[in-house]
Amino acid sequence: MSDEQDARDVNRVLSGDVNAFEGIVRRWQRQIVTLAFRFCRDRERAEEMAHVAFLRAFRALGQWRGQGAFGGWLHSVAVNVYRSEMRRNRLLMLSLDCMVDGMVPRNETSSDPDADRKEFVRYAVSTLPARYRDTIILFYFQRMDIRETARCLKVAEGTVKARLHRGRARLRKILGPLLEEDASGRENE
Amino acid sequence: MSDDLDAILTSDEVLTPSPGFAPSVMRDVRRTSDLAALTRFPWFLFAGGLIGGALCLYFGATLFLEDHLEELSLRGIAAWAETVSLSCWSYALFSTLVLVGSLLVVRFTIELTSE
Repeated sequence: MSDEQDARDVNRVLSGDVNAFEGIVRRWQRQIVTLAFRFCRDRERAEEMAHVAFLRAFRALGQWRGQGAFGGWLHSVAVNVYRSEMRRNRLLMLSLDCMVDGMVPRNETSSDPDADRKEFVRYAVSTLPARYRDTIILFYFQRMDIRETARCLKVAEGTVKARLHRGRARLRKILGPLLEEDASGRENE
Repeated sequence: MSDDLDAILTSDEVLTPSPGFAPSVMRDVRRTSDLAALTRFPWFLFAGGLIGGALCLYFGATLFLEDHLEELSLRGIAAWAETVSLSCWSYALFSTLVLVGSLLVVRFTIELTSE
């Protein structure tokens, strides 16, 4: 994705050409919707959240003054929107037990034999407390480094490292028995 | 287990948005932009009102002082200063309250209509 294209489109929008924002939406929609999906694990809701994120970015476009990559700023805006949405709709996140009991659809269309395990893990991440969930999503799923993650979440780098460590420990604790069952189930097939 | 966990956490997962996503975002972006244009604060009118208000204050103070010149001259310069400053301050306070109130009304209107 070209930083120059982003900067050009931002300047055009700020000069009054609203249609230039479409270029930004088309270039970044995949990443922003995928990021939303990593928070909520529901495709329809992910698109709704991403929709709100783009509108918020449009209204706040004047705040990006060219310092740092536009993509980083857009991700920050999106993460703030998603965190608020997740806080507001906390009850809509089903517990991990619901996935085990079959209430959450598993990945039946994928050809990856490990698709279910991966979906377990990703879903488990979305049920973690917000501080661990957000950190793991940005660091692992969005491939941000410690510094970028700290800047996006507005915390210290040490805090990011601590949250990653504790988040992974919680995941191991939650998923350990489930993944062992899954592995032994596959062995018996 | 921890290698598995790391491998899964770093594995790729990309979602392709539905075809209507970008057009739907742009529809709302244009609507937001049109609304902002309608409710944009009228800075030129505001500046004109400010200048008009200052002129009214000046001429009003002049007329007031002319009418009460004799009375005030009997009471001395200190009384003049007190009377003029009191009327100016109360006019300024009133104008400030009206301006702040107008700004708040415009701001809330933009917030309510853009949700």
